[in-house]
Amino acid sequence: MNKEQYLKKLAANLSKLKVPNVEEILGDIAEYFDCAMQDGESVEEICARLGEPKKLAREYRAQHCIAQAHAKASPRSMARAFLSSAALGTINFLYVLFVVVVGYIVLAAFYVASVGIALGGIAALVAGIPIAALMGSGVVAVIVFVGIAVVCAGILAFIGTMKLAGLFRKANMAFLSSISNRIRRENQ
Amino acid sequence: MNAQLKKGVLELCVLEMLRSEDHYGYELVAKISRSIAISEGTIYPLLRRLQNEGYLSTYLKESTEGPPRKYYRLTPLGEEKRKEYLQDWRAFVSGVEKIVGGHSE
Repeated sequence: MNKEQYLKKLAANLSKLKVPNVEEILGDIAEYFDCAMQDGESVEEICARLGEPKKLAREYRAQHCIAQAHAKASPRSMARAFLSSAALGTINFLYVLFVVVVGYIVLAAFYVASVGIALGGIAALVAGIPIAALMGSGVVAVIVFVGIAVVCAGILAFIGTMKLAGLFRKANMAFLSSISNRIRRENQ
Repeated sequence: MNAQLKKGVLELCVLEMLRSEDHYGYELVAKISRSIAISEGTIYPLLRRLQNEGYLSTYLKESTEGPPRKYYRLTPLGEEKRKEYLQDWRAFVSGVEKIVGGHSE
């Protein structure tokens, strides 16, 4: 078996075992071949020392599984890790809590304001039209136009706030997962 | 020596080897296998995991002969891990010695 054949067999076995970063792995092993051959080793020797491609692929698979097991924390270890990090960086933690609370208060204010605007538009239509009718059809048209515009603005503001809330939630999730990743690493 | 026992200790050996200077894969394998009989097929997958877990970082460096080589360097996280392993190892060896030491053949 030469270098190319070895790498080809290794690639096939790695993909069969669903090992990630196959290209990088092949690069590492190709480099090993090159260095060893420069050192005067024969291809047979190198292949023998690396072991069967199938076996090497299994070893990569095993190490990948270990890494995944390390990365996957149990709920208990996560809770413990979160508490320990909260204690370590209490100020940091309070700061984050503050940002989250203020963020939700601002969002709630936006919701109330947008509903208020829409209701204001409806009120203008309901109350304004009978009064404007006394002043002529031109004024009625203006009131209707303005009232509908205000209602639309309120609805748009409401939709905008919903989008904003979605983004805020996503940002929180991203932040939480980055924290939990850090904690996981620290607790390994 | 038992293969599983060797495998467990190999992680410490790799981290220790990279403590003082950066090495490229072949060099690392050659130096380690001079002291412990270990298969290359065990070290490379281990290097990849240590890299994925953030204990090692890699960079390419030109070599006088042939294409650039991938060098491995210990990260601060890897240094923490190394200290932890070393402590564990020392405690383990002295523990085993306490049991084994009394029964010299």
